[in-house]
Amino acid sequence: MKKLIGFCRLAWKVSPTYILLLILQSLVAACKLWLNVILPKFLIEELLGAGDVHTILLLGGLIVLNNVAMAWLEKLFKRFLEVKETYVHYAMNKLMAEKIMKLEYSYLEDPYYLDLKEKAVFAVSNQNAISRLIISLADVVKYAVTLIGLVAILATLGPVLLAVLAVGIAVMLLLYRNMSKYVVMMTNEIVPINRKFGYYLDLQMEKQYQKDIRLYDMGHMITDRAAGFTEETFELFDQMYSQQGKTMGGIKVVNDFIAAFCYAYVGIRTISDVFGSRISIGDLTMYVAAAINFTDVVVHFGESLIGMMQVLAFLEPYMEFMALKEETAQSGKEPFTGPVETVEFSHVNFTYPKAEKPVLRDVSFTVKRGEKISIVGLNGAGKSTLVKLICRMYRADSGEIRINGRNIYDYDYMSYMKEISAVFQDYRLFNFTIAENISCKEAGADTQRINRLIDEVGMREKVDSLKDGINSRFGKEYDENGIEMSGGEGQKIAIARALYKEASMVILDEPASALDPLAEAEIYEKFNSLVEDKTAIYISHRMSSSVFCDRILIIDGGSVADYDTHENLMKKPDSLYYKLFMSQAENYKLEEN
Amino acid sequence: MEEQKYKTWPVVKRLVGNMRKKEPGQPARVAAYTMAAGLYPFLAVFLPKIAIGILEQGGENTVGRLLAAMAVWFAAAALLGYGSEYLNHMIQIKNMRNRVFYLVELGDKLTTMDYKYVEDAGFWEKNKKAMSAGNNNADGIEGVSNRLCTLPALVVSLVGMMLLAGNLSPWILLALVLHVAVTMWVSAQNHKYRYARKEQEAKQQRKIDYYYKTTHDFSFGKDIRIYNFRDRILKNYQAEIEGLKALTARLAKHEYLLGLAGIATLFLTNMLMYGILIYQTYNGMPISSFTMYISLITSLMAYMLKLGEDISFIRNQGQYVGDFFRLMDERLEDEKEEIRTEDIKAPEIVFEHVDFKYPGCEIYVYKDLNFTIHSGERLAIVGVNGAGKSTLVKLMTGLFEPTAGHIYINGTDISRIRKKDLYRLYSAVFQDVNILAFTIRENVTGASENVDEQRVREALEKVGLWQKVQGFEKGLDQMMLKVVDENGTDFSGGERQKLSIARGLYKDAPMVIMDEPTAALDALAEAEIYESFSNMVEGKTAVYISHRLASTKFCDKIALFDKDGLKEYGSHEELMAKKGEYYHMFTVQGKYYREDAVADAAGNAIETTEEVSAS
Repeated sequence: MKKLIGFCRLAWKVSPTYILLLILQSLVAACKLWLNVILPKFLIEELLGAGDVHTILLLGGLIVLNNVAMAWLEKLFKRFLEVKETYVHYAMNKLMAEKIMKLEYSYLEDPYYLDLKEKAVFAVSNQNAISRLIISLADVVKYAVTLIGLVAILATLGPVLLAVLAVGIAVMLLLYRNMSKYVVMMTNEIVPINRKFGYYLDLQMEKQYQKDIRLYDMGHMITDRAAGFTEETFELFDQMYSQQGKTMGGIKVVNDFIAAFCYAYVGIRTISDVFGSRISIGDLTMYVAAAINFTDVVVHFGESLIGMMQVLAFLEPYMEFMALKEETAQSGKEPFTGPVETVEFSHVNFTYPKAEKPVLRDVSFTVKRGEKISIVGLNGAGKSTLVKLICRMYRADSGEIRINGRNIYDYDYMSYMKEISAVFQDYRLFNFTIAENISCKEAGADTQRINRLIDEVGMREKVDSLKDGINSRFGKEYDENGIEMSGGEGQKIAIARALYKEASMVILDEPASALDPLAEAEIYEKFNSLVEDKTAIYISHRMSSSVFCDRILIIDGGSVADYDTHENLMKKPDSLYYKLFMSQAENYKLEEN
Repeated sequence: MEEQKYKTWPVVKRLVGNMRKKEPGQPARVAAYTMAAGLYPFLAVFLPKIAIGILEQGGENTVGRLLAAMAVWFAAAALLGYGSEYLNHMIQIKNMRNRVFYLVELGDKLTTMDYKYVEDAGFWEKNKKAMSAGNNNADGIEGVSNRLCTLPALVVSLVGMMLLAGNLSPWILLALVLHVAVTMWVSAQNHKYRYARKEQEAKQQRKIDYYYKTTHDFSFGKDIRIYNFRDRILKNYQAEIEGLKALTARLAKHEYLLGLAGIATLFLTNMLMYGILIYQTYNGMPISSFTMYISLITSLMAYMLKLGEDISFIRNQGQYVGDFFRLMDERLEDEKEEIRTEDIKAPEIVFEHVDFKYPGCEIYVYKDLNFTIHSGERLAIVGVNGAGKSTLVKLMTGLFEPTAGHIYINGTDISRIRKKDLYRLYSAVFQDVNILAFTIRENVTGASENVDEQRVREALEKVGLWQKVQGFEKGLDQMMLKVVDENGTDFSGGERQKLSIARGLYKDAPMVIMDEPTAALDALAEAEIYESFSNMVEGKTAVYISHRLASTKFCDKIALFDKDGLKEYGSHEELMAKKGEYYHMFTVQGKYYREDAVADAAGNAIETTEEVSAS
């Protein structure tokens, strides 16, 4: 119930008119049914009794009017509801998007939240859970209102019919409950198998695997596996459908019994007064219609109630996600006025959430303003983690990172982030124009500066070849006329973006991995002039890049192994740095003279 | 509505034919269902007539007769109702199963078709609808199958009801037909209107989707935060949603206005129905008939609409099913005579006047490319990004075919060799390693059966993974990835690359190709991969592609490609002596390694650099 209220609050926030329209629609539908039960009684009584032509025509007219006017109202509602539904569907997605962007970054790399998001997305996109929940909620309201009206009619006939109806309905609901329990049980068994099946099917269909599949002749292996899981899935599906068929058949039987019983009982009431005062044939049609509708409505009521609960359970991940705390990382108050004078790691330890082994152990080092530092280490040594800590994406477990002498979390988040710029190895560009991707501004960007950066990162030729120059939209997802760029070109834009940002510190994590040797060398040679007097931290597997740096921080297994100049490090032939450097240098020995 | 002429009937025939073949029990089920479900609605129609009729008749033992009639009625209803419901479920599940097997068949087809289609965006675009016919419950193959199975029952009910209603008044029947016709026309018009705006709608949706994906893909999180893109994205996101909302409002308004025509005919039908029934009852028709006819006509209207919907559904969706069949029939694999490739050892590959552009592209990757990879040679292919190095691999492995010119393997034009036999010749390792959710053994061998254990072990030993594999309780049976088995394992980047090299080793093909295998690896892992390469290529022809020039050290020959194709070819020494492009690249890339080494050498600090001489 709490969840339901929480959800309603969200939906109300997105579109209050949608909720109101749905309720109104429910009431109108309930009203239509109720009139359809009552009006014929008077018509039949008039036909059998007084036979007054005016009254007959009036009643007939009312019935026709009820049918037609209600049909018209339905169409009218549909017109507005379709629009609202579309809107709410996308707006709820957007709400989640907003949440994602406001979350503390560390959540985004935590497998738990990644999984939670996947589940939420599955419920919302694949199961259409949000629309379904709202609609079943409206149905519950509709059927509840209808039920009250019908009970009011049936109660006038005395308790017998109501009692029998209650028993019949109880049996039906019992059947339903058992079935849905069974379905849930089977679904729990089927879903994992089905997911596996889906995986192998995807392997058959997805492009990236096709080269390997052909060259290593793996097609049979995959098809066999997919077919095998299909058999397994359908063994269960067969059982489940058979059970469902039996239950639904059983419910029909109960339904038919109620209909037969109604006619028998109410029929007897028209000719005998054993069970109470006699009633007319007109009453008979009304009571029977009310009773049959009653079972129908109760069943639908139950269905939508169960459906609502199911969808609510489906939506649990979504609701959990929406309730996540936002950005405690932004707690600091002190405005950071920059520039970065010193960066100081002091005995920093860090373990990723839920990981067993620490990534960083007792890391201490200092970088001074304007220094160029290279961080070197094997894959998985913790280099990128260092960067994330500086960017306040994660908080150190113990120890402190100080900038200009103060803990970085003392600073106000926005003003702090203003002074830090970064290119990540998995940088992302957006489907905005090239200029916007570099300046991160929609308007008021410094075009001259953008152009200068484009020259410097070596993108001039490419940009000039585009019809719209720097105003060409990147990517084809948003707009099919967007331009595409190779990995190397994208990386150059990302570098330009990092440098456009007027931050006093810039971090470059594998910024040139997709560049070819010439472009790479060009970028490295220009780095010092590109980053100007900014404090800079580089991470690269290309050992040659560290030659440019003032000092090199060697991370080995999460600890600082060394922190020195290239010249000094090369004097230690046992060191990791020396080994790494020489293993690459070996390949570039000039032998010809 | 689509450009292609399509006939529903052959599609229906084929669908039904396959259904009978794959699910032999289905026709019997459908026949039984038709009986039960066809008759069942009449019970509801006749119930008031029977009950009120007995009451109207009155006389002796009315109560007894009423109870008896109701009991008989209930027995019949229970039988037919239960039967139709149960059968319907059984029919549906068989159709679903059938559909999934179509899907597996499609998957099989996609993994065996010529590779050129895989990278042809046009192929996927063209067949998107066809494929979607196989992958959902509601539409396509399964939807049409389900409707085809329930259609006979619907027709039985309808015919009976129409006879009854026609008996009362042909005018009502006529009004009903008019109403149903108008309703269907409205729905068709509506469909047309929406269809014409489908692209506009899809475009708008795509824009929304872009923001959806960008925000929901966590990998964008870092850049969004560092560069403060959040408000910007939300603003645009909202604007695109408003755009779609406005479009939907237009569509809904159009539908509503058209729908008013249906309201008019509904009014007419209702007027006629109640008018005639009231008139007749006023003139002596019993009330039992009055109530019966009302329920009859209401049901009839619903059934007629349902029939109309079903038929247009079968027609519309049948088109996609037809597309699916067409795709399955299409020859996507070219068949060739058998040329034995088993005897080929260390092949020689000759490119002769090869032109190539990707399907659907304007720009040529190669024009008149001529060059030879000699038998037993280790060739390094180097060059800048976009020089078409990887394309070369796709051409010689037969994944793509030259636009013009020929490629020969030991003198045989590869276009004459069956793809399967051609693929057999190559052990290829790419930069993007695809580890599949199979066991380690299956990942190495690419097969679930007939595995040579000894060689699996040897391959893993050679790449240095054997120890790691032994560390798993299940050894070679350890599952990879967590998608399928939650106890599955995953490897680091370097280990994944080693596993894929083990795959190449196990295959033991006469030709080895490595395409940028070390781009994401650290220097030590890179050195290990180089070593594996040397191990792997003994007595074979080998190609190593990289934009790092390091690879040239362990290769006999170097081919340097630039945007215009093959630029330089020769041994390292030859090319260095030439002082051309290769020399330039090599010196640029190695500059800082060397200057440093020079500096060290000058300082006499390190003995191991003594063989490095200043240039």
